[in-house]
Amino acid sequence: MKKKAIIQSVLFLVILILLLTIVIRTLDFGVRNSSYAQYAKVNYIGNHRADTQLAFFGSSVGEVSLNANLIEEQTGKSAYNYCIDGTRFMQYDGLIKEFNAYSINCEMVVFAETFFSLSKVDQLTEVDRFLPYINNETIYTSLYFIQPELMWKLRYIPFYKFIVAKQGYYKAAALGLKEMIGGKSLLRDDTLKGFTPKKLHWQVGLDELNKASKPIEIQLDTIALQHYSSTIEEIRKKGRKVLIVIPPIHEDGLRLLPDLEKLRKTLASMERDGVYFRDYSMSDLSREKNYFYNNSHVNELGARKFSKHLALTIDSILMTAKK
Amino acid sequence: MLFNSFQFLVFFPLVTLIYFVLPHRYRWFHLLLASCVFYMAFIPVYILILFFTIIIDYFAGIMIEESLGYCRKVFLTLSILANVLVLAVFKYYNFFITNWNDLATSLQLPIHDLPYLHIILPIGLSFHTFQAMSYTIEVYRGNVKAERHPGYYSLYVMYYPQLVAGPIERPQNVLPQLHAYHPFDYSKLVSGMRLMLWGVFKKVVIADRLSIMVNEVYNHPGSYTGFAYVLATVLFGIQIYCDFSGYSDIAIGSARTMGIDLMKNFSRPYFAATISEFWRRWHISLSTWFRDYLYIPLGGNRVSAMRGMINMLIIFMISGLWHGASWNFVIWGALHGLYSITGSIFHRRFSFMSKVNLVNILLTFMLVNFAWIFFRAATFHSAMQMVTHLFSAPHGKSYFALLEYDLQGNATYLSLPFWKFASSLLLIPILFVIDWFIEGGYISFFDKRPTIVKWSVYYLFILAILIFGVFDTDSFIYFQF
Repeated sequence: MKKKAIIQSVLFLVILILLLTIVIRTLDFGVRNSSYAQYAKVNYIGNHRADTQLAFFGSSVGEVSLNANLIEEQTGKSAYNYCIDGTRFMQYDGLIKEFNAYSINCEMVVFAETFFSLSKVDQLTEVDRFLPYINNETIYTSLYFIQPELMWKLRYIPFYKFIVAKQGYYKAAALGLKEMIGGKSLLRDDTLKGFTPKKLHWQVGLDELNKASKPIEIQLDTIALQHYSSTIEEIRKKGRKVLIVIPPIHEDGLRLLPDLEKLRKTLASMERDGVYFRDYSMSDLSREKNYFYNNSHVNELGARKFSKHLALTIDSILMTAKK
Repeated sequence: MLFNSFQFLVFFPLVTLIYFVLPHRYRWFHLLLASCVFYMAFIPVYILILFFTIIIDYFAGIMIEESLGYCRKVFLTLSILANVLVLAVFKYYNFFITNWNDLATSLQLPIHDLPYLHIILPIGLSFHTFQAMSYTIEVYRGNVKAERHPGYYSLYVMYYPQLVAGPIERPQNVLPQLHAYHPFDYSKLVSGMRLMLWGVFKKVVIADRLSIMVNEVYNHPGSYTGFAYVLATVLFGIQIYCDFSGYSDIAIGSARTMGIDLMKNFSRPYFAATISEFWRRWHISLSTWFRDYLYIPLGGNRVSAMRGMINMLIIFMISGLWHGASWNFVIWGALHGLYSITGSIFHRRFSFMSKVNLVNILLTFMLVNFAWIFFRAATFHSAMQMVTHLFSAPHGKSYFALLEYDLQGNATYLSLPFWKFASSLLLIPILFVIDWFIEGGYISFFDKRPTIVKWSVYYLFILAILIFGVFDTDSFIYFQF
């Protein structure tokens, strides 16, 4: 009886482990090949599918402001917007490094920064997007710096991904698998090239909120700055140009960021041979609410205008470099 | 250590495995050590509080047994006082001080700013204190012999499955089982693990999912009104049931794997046709504790009708206070007391009101849920805001309107997108059907199914827990008590 019980228990566990392994591998496979939302961006880089001449990295500020198609049209260089909403530099640092390591075509990496990009971060945002790439050393290391314990568990504790995975992960997996079963090409090309246009107007009630809000203190994190500097150096070593930009911020938002100068100075100090800094935070756009839907995010119209400006800058930098 | 934590996933199989490998004479020590580790996962130093009550009650038990006449009462009183003192200091001191300071300020008394204690409430304090008290009371009554082995007595108080949130056990049930030798029993292992699985499902899939909507409304009562209050309160009723009965199932199940049977704590309470029946089905170990150690000693049903009603009200209010040091809990208890009193009057005159039928079940369910408002609301003010607006429609909308838009312009229902909202609600009938299946004795029918069927169901539940479970919430609601 005891022997039979032990055999049954072991068998139950073995089947369970097998089942969970199959499920998690299938999910990972689905997510890896999914074109769903921002998962696609991580997938393009994680699967080494993307190799554009111009690569834009940043958070939502970059995601909504850099119209890759328009820039591509104006510069004649292939471009993609890899900016991921809700993330700070430390979280997408691994993606930049990975891209820089495998890319052959890349000529310039554009960093779209905002007031929180280089501040301290101790919690990962939507880590689900990175789950299939936990074994990718570059991506893992950059995420490990933010939440070491979580990353360790994800890598070494079997099936821990289930605990962390949220709705987006399952949705991405389902869509990825559906595309595969439907015979569609995996990771279909995104017609907007990573750009997310926001057809929105200045948010209702934001003026009152701004009036009531206290100024935001910008705290630059030393470790983030070290990583930032070293990543720029890695890109430079590959003979690529680096352009750091602060996209437009509406003047109402600027009033809430009295020490934005601190960020400007820090980013400007990064300038050296092959590394350029351009500040658009106080551009013409900043005075017009028509171009924004909130303090630091431009709408589709604002993105068009800003991208045109940026395309000219990119063009001139690359032309000068050629000469 | 939380039952729904990763640590417990390692702790439980390890402790159970070692338990069966060890010779019987070492098992008590192993379980005691494991229980210490379990408790110390929260705030390690608080184990000293447990040791304090254990030492007092251990010696009190022996002294009560060895003494005669008046001395026995003295030792019992001392033991109860020591336990109540611990509760008073750690749980009720700040509550008392707040009330005293408020009263003294309004009456302009000279002492009106007594200092607060800046301490965190030891986890499960009310549970193990009550369990410790039941021991000395039972020894005093002669229902159980004083435990001479300090290890076994410590284990009685600290046995990890029921240490922090019950069931609040009785010595005559647990102590003999702790002494007894339990050989490995596969059927008990399976039945225990199955109960644990169901408990975890109730906690992480149902309770924690519903809590998202409940918290949204109860944390921002000013942003909602009418039907949102009603729905959030009903969902809280289901949430707290799944949370607490889920904990009890895991506790009972994990003890069962080691061959130890703990008392049942829930029996489909929302199918009760009267409030007194509800209390025979809800948190059974606590309601029987109050019945055995407070209600009956106060005279039970042998006193006059008026005295009986007053006693009932007092007991329910104390029960409320047991849950938390706040007037909201006292009101919650008082409401149940009033329900019970009114019920007893009506049921005597109109027997149809206590018959099990849908109308009575629904009426009881509504009354219980109304009381939950005071239990869940953060303050008396927010509870009253909800009570007074239960039937108000949102401005310019129909009473049942729940649809809102978030900052990104997405449609939400109590902060969730429609499909998440609807799927969370769908969990409720699933809960009642499975509860009915388990309680109705259909488990034996399930046991007779082929292994492949049973295992498929288990795997399905495990996957459902992993995929649909919410793992980022803090802990079980009843831990705070």
